[in-house]
Amino acid sequence: MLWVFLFLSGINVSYGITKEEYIQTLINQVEERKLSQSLQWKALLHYKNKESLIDDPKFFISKYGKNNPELELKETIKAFFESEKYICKFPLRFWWLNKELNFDKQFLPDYNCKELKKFLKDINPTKAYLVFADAHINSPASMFGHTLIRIDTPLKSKLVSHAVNYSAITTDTNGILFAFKGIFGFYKGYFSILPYYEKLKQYSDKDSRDLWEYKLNLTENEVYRMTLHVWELQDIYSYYYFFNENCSYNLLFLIDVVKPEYRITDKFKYWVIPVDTIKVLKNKKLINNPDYRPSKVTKINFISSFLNKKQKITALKIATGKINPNTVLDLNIPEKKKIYILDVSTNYLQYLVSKRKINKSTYTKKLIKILSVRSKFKDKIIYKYPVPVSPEKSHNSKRVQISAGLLNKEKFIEIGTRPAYHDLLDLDEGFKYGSKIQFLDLKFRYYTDLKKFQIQKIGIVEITSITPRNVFFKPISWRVNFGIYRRFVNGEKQKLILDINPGGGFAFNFWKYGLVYGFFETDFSLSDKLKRKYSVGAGISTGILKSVNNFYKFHLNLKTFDYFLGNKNNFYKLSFNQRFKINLQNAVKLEYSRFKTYSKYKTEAKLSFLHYF
Amino acid sequence: MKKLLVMGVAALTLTASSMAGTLKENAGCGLGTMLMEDMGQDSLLFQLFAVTTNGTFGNQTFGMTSGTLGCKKPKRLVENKKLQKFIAQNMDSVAQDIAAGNGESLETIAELMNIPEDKKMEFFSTLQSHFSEIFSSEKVEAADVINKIAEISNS
Repeated sequence: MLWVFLFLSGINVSYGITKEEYIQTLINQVEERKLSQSLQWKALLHYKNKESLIDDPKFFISKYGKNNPELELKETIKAFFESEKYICKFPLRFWWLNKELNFDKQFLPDYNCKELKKFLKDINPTKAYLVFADAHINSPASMFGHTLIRIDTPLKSKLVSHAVNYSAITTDTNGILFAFKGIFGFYKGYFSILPYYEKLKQYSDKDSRDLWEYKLNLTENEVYRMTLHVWELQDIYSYYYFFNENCSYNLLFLIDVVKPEYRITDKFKYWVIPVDTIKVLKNKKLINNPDYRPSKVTKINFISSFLNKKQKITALKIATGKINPNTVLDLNIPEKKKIYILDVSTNYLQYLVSKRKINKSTYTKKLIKILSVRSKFKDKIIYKYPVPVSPEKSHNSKRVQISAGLLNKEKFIEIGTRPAYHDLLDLDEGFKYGSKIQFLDLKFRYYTDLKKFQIQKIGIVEITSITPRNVFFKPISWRVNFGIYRRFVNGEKQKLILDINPGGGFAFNFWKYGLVYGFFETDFSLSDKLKRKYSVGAGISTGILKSVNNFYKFHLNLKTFDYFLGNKNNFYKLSFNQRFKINLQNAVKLEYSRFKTYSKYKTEAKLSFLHYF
Repeated sequence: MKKLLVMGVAALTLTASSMAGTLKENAGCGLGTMLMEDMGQDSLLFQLFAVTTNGTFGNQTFGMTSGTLGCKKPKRLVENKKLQKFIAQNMDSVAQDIAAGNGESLETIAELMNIPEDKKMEFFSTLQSHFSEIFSSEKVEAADVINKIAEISNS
């Protein structure tokens, strides 16, 4: 509240000239000092190369404001002297221009800004956090993560803080339309502000995403000014572009306006991956180590890890109503275990209702029953959830690879590049185990004796999600590869084919940090180099993915495929791939496979050096 | 991510009222505060394409809301609007915490009620032992919970 009076600071009084003449002196100053080219003005209006990224005309006072920083600045000044409406609509612009130009109080309209004051009173900004919502375990779509900014009040409780979020708004339900429009900017994106507990219900409980809360190293005044900018952006849209003008990118403008000299938004050009925004902030020392907030699924898995199989099933049955929670009181087990059973069943019950597996009425009845038994235990338990490696400590998303290898007797050198994001054998820290998502994984080969250069692979999109099943959660693991791959089209020749390869199956935990899986897969290939131009097949793929320790991880896979339509073929492959970590951004990979295709046996071995940047 | 699209659709229906400055954030006044409207996009194909939108569809909500629109008003702690709103919109985590005798929602209630630090443990234990009176049935509403909490902490 105190800060509101900052508006009045630095205002002086001059005599003897008209308002129009006074405003002209300000305009002259603006021109002389080239204020419209300053970093602060660019940050306030989101200008990049003289064009604002904001698309809503309501954000600009001048009709040409979107493409003319100087005109927008001049019109803004004139507007402030015309009516309090603009002072209250753009309070951060006002704060800055007043600071730079020392507005003469005599010519300014009286301003009260009731709604703004109410907003600031409710938000009560003191500290700010950047919150990263991690991937949901079986949803590679969420793998890039999501960021929002939390603005804290002076209270200790974080639940009553507010979350600022940028997101696209749509009514589309068609998946392809959804994807296309999201990529090419057909959706409008808006900033929104909600109590933090609402975001927790959404991300932590419903979507089962772990949250990482990074405190922003900003002063209270900077957080206050950031909040003023959030106000300036209310109900203002810009077109949402999945690759570069997405949730994480737009949030960075809130930091830009209070730290314009860091030019954070300039650090991103063609695409913005949320975790990269966190890494940039860390480099600028704007954040430190985060607080960890486990999701509901993480909590259920952790608490149930203290129970044996029978006890887990008891918890499951209590949640599904097959056993009365009272029976826990009579079990011949330590009190603590009884509490764990009840806590697991409560959380699991809430998980079930949030996934619509039970209706609200069933849920509320069961909840009260379980909790009234729970309330009989006077022991206070505080769960210490193990904290995984935080996302900003993960390997960088771009990767280059240089390899040497043999295909049967032919020696080759291979180079590869990949702009995003994470592979099954890439370093695990900071990523969800068993997940892969790659865009544009390119590989080029040069066979040294044959003196032949070939495109080996153009992986357009490759996604794999190997998620283990347990007593409580029974996800279906899945994968899909789509791209152009070099494959044998007969016993001798390899050609490029267009291929899509979807599959689904089950996976289970295999010791610690290990997964065993079985997939049923299909494969659709197209190529004019194929005798029949196309090939359709189905098959089984099974394997083990295991991190032996911090440095060594392997992937053993056996695949058998029957191409029964078009170019017929029986395909069998055994592969054993190993990765050795050098450090967080460097690794060595050794790949070996033996396969049979078109009745011919082939062997391939490859040694690669991988660098992430 | 299919669920987040669902959120977006729900948000759009709520957006019309949000433009007027107030928003019904809670689908009801009792337990089940985590439930949001569901349009049922559940296909794997949808999941697949949702990779490009990365879960950024959400509520377009701006500005402050009254939070307890349409719900029964409590007789006690009437001036403490923040407490009323918090309990109404977090009934489930409040119930969980009171039953457990600790937790973040319970800590928030204590802070909003200005319970002194040295009296907090006692306050939590007392509420825990009265759980079945506070959450007397599955149909209990926020106002009932607040009335009972006020009654218990004053006696």
